Amino acid sequence: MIHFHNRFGEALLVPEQSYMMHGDTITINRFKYYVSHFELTNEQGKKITLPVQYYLIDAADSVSGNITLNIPIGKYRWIHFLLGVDSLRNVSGVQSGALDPLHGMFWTWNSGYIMAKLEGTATSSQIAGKQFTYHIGGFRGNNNTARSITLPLSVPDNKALIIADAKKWFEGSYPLMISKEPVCHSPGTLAVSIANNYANMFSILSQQK
Amino acid sequence: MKYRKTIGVIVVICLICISWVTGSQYFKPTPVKLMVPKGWPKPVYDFKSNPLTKEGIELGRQLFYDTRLSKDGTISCGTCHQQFGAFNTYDHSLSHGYNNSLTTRNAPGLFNLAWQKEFMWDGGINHLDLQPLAPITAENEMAESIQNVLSKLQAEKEYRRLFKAAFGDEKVTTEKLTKAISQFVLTFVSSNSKYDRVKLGVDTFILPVDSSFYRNNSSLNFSFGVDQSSVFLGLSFKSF
Repeated sequence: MIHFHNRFGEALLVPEQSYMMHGDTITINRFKYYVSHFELTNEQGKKITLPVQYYLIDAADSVSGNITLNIPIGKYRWIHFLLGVDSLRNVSGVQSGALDPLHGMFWTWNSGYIMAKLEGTATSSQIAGKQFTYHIGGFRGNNNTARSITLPLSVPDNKALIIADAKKWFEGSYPLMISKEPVCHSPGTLAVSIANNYANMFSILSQQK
Repeated sequence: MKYRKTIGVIVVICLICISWVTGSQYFKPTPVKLMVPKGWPKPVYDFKSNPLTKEGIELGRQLFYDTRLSKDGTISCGTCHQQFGAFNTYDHSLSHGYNNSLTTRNAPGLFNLAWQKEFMWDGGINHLDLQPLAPITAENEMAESIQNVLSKLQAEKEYRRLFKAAFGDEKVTTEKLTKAISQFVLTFVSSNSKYDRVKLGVDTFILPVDSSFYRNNSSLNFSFGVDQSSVFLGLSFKSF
C-alpha cells in the first residue's frame, strides 16, 4: 500500500490554499500527475516488476493518492516508478481508465499526454488573472518529460508514504520564475527543464505503523 | 444420495449456460473485412485493436452525423466533412465552428485513412482513434467536453442499444466512442473509380471526340492521354 501525500514545501497541499514562496503568494488550483511502472528491489538486490498500471494522482482527490500493489511478502529496500506516461502509450490511440483523455491530461491537437500539471495564481505573475499554468508533456527523444524515480525504503514495511512536493517544480537545476515564465503548454526545452526539477519532488516519509 | 448429486450437476450446468448466455460471450457482432484494393500497400491502422464490425460501423455513422457531439447541438463531424465533397467542404476557405466562429483551416477530405499515419493538416495527431477528440473539444469547432458528450449519449436509449450492439455493453466511453467513429471513417476507400480502373488497364477513357459536336466545332480540340509509364493522367485543352 502506497500513499502519495501532496505538499507545498513543508505544508500539506490543499487546492485553493495560499503559500508563501520567495516573497510571492502562491495559490495552487490544480496539481495532477501520472505514476506507473512500479518496481521494488529487495534486500538481496532482486528487482520485482509489477504489471504496468497507470494511476492519476490528483491533489483535489486525496483518495487518488492511495495505491494498492500486489507484492510478494518480503523486505524491500528500494521502490522505483515512472512519473508520467511511457512513449508507447503516447502513440497507441485512445486509452481507458486513468489514461482516458477525458481527464484533461491529454493534448488532443498534438497527440501526447501531459505527464504532470501544476496550475494556480501568484502575485508575481504578469499575465491575465495572475495565473501560472504548467502542463508538462513531450515523449519524443530529448523532449521526453517522463522521469524514472527511485526512492529508498528506509524501514522495510508494507506501507510507504511518498511525499510529492510541488514546490520542487520551482527549485533544482532550473530556477523557474513565475514572473518570467508563467506558462508552459508544449513539449520543448522549458518543459524538459521543469521535468528535471519535478524529478526530485518525491521523498519517503518515515514510515508509521 | 446419488440423485442429489445428479441434480446438483444439472443445476451447475444450467447456471453455466445462463451465465454464458447473459455474459459477454453471447455478444457476437458481425465482422466486416476492409477490402484492400489490388496493388495497394498494407494498411497502417491496427485492425486487431479495433476489428471492424457491421454494428461498430453503424454506430460510427450515427455518431459522425450527430450534432449532439457539439456544445450547442448544431455541428456534427459531417457538417464540415461532407460526403459529396469527399468529406470536405470545398466551397469554404475556412471551416465554420461553434457560435459563428471560424477555424484557422478548412476540414480536410476523409478517405483512405487506414493508410494514413498522421492526421490534421499539421500531422499533429498520431493515431486515427484520437482524431475526433480534437474537433469535438476545440473552442472554434464543436466546443464540447468529452465528458459532456459521453453523458449526453449515455442518456439516450437508442445509443445505449447501439453501444451494446457494437461493443457488448451499454456503457459509453471515450475509447468506444472514438473506435466507432474510426470504424465508420475507415470504410471511406477511394478505390475502383474510373480513373483507378483505367490505371489498372481494365477500363478505357472513350471521349466523345468523334461525335458530331466536336467534329463540327473545329476551333476546339480535346486531347486526352494516359501515360502508362508514369501513371500520369493529362487532360489538355488546345485551341486552334
